Amino acid sequence: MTKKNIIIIISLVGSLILVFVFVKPLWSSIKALNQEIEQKGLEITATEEILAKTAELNQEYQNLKDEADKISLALPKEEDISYLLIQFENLASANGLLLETVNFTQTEEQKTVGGQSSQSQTEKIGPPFPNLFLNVKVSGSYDAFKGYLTGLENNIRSMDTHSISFSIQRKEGQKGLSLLPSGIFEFDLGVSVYYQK
Amino acid sequence: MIEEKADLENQLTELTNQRNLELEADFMELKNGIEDLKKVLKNRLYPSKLFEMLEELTLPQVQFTGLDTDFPQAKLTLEAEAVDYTTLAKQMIVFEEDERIEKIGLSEVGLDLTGRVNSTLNIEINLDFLRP
Repeated sequence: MTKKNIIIIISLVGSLILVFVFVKPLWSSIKALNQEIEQKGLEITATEEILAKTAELNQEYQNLKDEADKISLALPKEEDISYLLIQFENLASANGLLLETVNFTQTEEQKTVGGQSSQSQTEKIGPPFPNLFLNVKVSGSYDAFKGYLTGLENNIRSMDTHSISFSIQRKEGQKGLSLLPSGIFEFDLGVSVYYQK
Repeated sequence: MIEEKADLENQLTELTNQRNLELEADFMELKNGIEDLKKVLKNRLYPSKLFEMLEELTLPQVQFTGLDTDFPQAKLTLEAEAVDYTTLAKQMIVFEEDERIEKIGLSEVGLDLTGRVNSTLNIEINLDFLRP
């Protein structure tokens, strides 16, 4: 091997070392910078989309504000017991019933529809979020009660009636075995009233 | 490239500042409210339809004096008064033949002092007809 060849080989090896020591890290940082620029570009596009969507939603919200407000009335953020009492009383008096008692018994997550004997109906009744469970006792005529029940079903505040029971009230002085009903019933309702998580 | 990155960062900061986070949070809340309301409405029962059914199926010589319902279990207990045993039997047949009623049973039956037949009917209903 001539001296010239040795110098060429050394130069080549030296060049390779230089490439690995200096050029490769530089290339890597350029690549990383490119990725960052690309990422920023994506973030800008996403933010622009959010801004456009927010503006669009805001426009729609202004047009449907009344409807949107009903949602917070249907599912308030808290139990709002005082408003509930007013609603129950107003509904009772509007239908000619006497609101005797309202018992706030428990707050539960959910109830299950269907017992072991009716597997096909085993579904959740009501949504999986908090509800206030209460017992309402009203008295009055059967027709008045039907109106009251329909009123509860159509009430803007979301509620479900889980149980109903009634028994006929006998006239004063006609104890026990009398079969002359006064036409006045006492109704017990189990109602779940929902609110948001 | 460093300058380009700096420009993009400035642009992003400017756009981020334009965002109304409170309004966005309101929209998220509204969306959650709508989803929750859908869940409420999905399984809503309309118990008034039960009374429509009872009025439709009750024979003229039968009177109901008490009712106890348990919608989660799809069960109801009816206290009925009939003029005689035959009428009570006919009433039971009417209930049995209706598709809204899954099962009917008689737990108590007897004459009262006036000669009318008092009974307690245990009924299992198909909840589907109580849905919208």
